[in-house]
Amino acid sequence: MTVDSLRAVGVSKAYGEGDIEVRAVDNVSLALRQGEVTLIMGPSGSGKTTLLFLLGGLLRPTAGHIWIDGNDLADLREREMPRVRLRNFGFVFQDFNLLANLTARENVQIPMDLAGVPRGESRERAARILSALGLRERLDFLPEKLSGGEKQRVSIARALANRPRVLLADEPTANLDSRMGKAVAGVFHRLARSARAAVLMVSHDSRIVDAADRVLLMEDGRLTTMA
Amino acid sequence: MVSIGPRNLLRDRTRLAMSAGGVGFSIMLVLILAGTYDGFYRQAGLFTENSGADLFVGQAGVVDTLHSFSILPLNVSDAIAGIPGVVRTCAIISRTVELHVGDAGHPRVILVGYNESHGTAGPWRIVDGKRLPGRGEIVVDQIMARKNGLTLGSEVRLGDRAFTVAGISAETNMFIMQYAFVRFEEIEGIVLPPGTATYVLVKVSAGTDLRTVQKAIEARVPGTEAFTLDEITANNRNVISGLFLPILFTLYLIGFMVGITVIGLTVYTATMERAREYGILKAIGADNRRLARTLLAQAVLLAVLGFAAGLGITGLAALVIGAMVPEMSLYFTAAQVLETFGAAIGMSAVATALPLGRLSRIDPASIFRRG
Repeated sequence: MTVDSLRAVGVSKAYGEGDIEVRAVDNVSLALRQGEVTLIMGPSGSGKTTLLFLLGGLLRPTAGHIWIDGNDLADLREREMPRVRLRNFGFVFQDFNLLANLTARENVQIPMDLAGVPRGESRERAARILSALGLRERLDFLPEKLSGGEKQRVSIARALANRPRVLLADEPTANLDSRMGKAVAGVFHRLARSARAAVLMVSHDSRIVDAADRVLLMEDGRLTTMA
Repeated sequence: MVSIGPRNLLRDRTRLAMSAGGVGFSIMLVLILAGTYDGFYRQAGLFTENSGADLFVGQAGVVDTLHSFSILPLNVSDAIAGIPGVVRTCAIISRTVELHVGDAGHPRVILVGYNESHGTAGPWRIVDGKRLPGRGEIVVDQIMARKNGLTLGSEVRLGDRAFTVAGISAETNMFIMQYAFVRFEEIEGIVLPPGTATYVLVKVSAGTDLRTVQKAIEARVPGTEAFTLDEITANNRNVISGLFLPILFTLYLIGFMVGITVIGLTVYTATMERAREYGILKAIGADNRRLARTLLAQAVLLAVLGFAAGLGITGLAALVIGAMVPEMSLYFTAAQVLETFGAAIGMSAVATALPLGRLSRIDPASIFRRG
């Protein structure tokens, strides 16, 4: 039996008003399930990233509801959002977005530190996650000393640090070669199974379709096709 | 928490060194000002504190010995001596005069004429020669001696009267002037009208209530006003506070503003260079309070490094000042250094406000947007 980790109903995001209103996301309903990898594909400008912002609590919808952990994100105050993001979401970014002056291990420790995990425990857990992702020998390397694939694995490790309900990945393979892209997509697939996390990737990289349990297509702000 | 802020700051060593140096100079400015003020403040009370008297009696209306002019008939001393509880009285003369050293030097001094047999009002710390000048002798301050090339046996003149330097005293510097000491009778009738003195210093017997004697003097010797040593010392020091505090306070503020600006600019620059990373932190789940702590850690680190640099610079500056302007008496206390350290930490807190305001407006979603 699958359980919904996140549920979005009738979510829209509009910019501007009246005649100049642009609907970046238009009446999208979606459920992300535990242990399942969902891939949203679509051309540039279709609204994929905006939808990711909305689902991850980085943007407020102009209509609709997003429920996670019993909370409707639309009801929460702005100052409550960081805590909600910290407790529920892991983010993986296209450009890795690691903190340049921190080692791989310290980058992974950051979300745990923010969540109040004791220092010793966060160090130990960070090392364990990175080792599981094949980076045992890179724990104390600064990002500038890591390859693109290694950086992406560090960013995945960071996203997993607080054992999130939902892992959101924005074009996670865009900066990787074909082999590394597939390897990273495979990591997401395994993590969804082992950590029972709901994984949502938005991408227009068709090479990673095999790693997804569900593929949704987005066009003009709407989820139009399901495969 | 992994130390993101300090790590960002330490990454650029050149900028860090320059910023710490800038903060160090502002700390130096604050410490030198504080040291100067405390030096003046301390000096203003040394003469009365070390006078050996219990009560200081001057002309009515004169409340300090620095910028008020007191003149009393000498018989006042005898009148006070008859008051119960008074053990001893000593009339002294204290006037600002110009001495002549050789042909070129005309140092202005506070010349004190006192009666050594009473053991009050003389120099309290001698670094060379003797404490009690004999006939035709004078004790001069070490700074005056150094500036005018005076040593034991040198000659100075007051008008047509010559004195031989018989002692060199310390702690008798008073801003731009210094104290010099001669026997009372040497200048009686010369710097004041005959039969007059400036103050009468009073010793009372052990166990006598000072207030009672003080009131009795004022009641029985009209035209006088008596002060305890604490009162006259405090009055002298209040003169310094009144004269210098507003100026020093302004300069203090400038020093702090410079420090705050340097810290603020450094932290702001270091923060804005890493704005994207702070956006990542916000996206991950860091709230503004957490970011404020990160910025504060940077600012405090900079303040601590700047303070350490400031101590070093101040030490060097004090050596240079001591050599070039010996009258400028710097007086540093542990409390003053601690207060300045606290102020440096305060600077860092204030300096955090600007970058924090900017940081709090960073939209975490913006880190996903590409070029």
